[in-house]
Amino acid sequence: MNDKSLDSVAFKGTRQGIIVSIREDFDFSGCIENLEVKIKESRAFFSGAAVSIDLGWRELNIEELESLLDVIYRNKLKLLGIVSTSLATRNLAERHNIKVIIGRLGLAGHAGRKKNSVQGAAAVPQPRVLPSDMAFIHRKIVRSGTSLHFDGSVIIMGDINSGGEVMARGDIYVMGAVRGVVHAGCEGNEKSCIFALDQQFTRLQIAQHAASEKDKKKIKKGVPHLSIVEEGKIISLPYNKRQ
Amino acid sequence: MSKVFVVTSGKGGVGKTTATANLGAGLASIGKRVVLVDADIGLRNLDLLLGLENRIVFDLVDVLDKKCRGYKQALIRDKRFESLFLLPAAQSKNKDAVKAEQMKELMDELRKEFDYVLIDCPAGIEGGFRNAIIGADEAIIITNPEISAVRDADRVVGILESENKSKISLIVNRLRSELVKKGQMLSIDDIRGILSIDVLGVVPEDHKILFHSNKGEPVILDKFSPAGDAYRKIVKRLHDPGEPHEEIKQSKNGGLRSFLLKLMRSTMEKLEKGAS
Repeated sequence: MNDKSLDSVAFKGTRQGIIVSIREDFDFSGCIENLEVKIKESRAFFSGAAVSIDLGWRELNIEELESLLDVIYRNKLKLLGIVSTSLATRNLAERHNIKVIIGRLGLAGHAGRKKNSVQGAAAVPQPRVLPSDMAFIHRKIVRSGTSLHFDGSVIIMGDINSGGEVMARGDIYVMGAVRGVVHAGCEGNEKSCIFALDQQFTRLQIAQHAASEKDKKKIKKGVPHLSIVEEGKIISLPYNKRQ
Repeated sequence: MSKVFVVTSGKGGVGKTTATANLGAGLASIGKRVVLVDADIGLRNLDLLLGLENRIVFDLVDVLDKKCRGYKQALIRDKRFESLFLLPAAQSKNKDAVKAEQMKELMDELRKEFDYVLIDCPAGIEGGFRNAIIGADEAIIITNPEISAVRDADRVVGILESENKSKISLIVNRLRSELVKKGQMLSIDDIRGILSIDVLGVVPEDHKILFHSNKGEPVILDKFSPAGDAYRKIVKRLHDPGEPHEEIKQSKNGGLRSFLLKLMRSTMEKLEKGAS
């Protein structure tokens, strides 16, 4: 595996799941290795997630598709579908009962087949990473059975009901009650925080720290709370404007 | 404009089938043409609640497999109402016997013929549930005031929303206002707070329901039953969404009793103060 192939895979978290973009002009087996390394590195971000694979114009053969599926299932991910502009790849995927979408997102950087290399290099779109002072906004209740992953901070306009799950690489702000699972800084950022108008979680986690039953008992119902990590422990404080 | 409703809940035993039978009878009693579709294949019950179990010849699976001449041959007319029909489920098959597209096609056919199509959905969120919801425009969620039923309802609402069924309303069944008052049961506001969907109506706990179910007669026809009363209000609201929303009365004899209790408590407090 050379340095280049490290950039051959890019991710983007969306409401429906994670999009994995695989660059078309690199050797596929290298890309697959790289994908597995990256999944293992970001275990928390990927755990149980639904993924869509963007293959661009790459024409897969059966062995390649199987090696890709193998990586996905071995890491206990749910495959939502395959995005591809190649008819051969789409037909192959359909024969494996995989949902296909025609298209190409190209998050991993390669600009497309037809453009020449100089133009291509200039037009490389960088994987989308939000600046730390910006956030996604989710304008819906998170109901039981839904699991959301965000590649940054998120504001949830609604409750997170018991049985629902929100994971974010950054902070989580809930304009409603948290009754389900929240995990901020799931990539290990201990500086992340979780804010909710009513903090009645079943599990609250910041980076690798989880709130204990004792912490939960201290929280008053119906009072906005801000949870942060201090000295390796989660503390939840009633929120007021002066802080 | 005809409407296709699915009556669903996630959890079993909360009163889906009872609600379907009563809403159907209620809509038929105001002259609407109604068909009730029992989608609970393998565990059919709707026929019993309507007292029509002896009349079943063909069933839903026969219709979808084209073993009879169209759905009309399988429809059973109700004994009491000219315009109420039942399409019974099969009892000897299981839920894999039908396909989602077939159900959707059938619903579109029924829609042409009837004002209201009510689908009685099986419990759970597996294939049978998916088949039942696919042809529906609107969903009616039935829940009981208990946390397990509310959580399941929440899951079902989530699935319905992701299937683009945007109009979802709620019936809270088997509410016992005396327990709510004591804080031993979830109140309507608690449930509304969790699910955040419109409440179509609240049906109080009523021992008469069991009696009427065993007799094969919808409770909505009983003029003296509180549950029947609640269903009549829900039917009015289904028919005309503008119908004012009457909250369930907390207790019939609450007025004088609570006044006396309050008076007693305050005198006791005064006496205690005086003693100390």
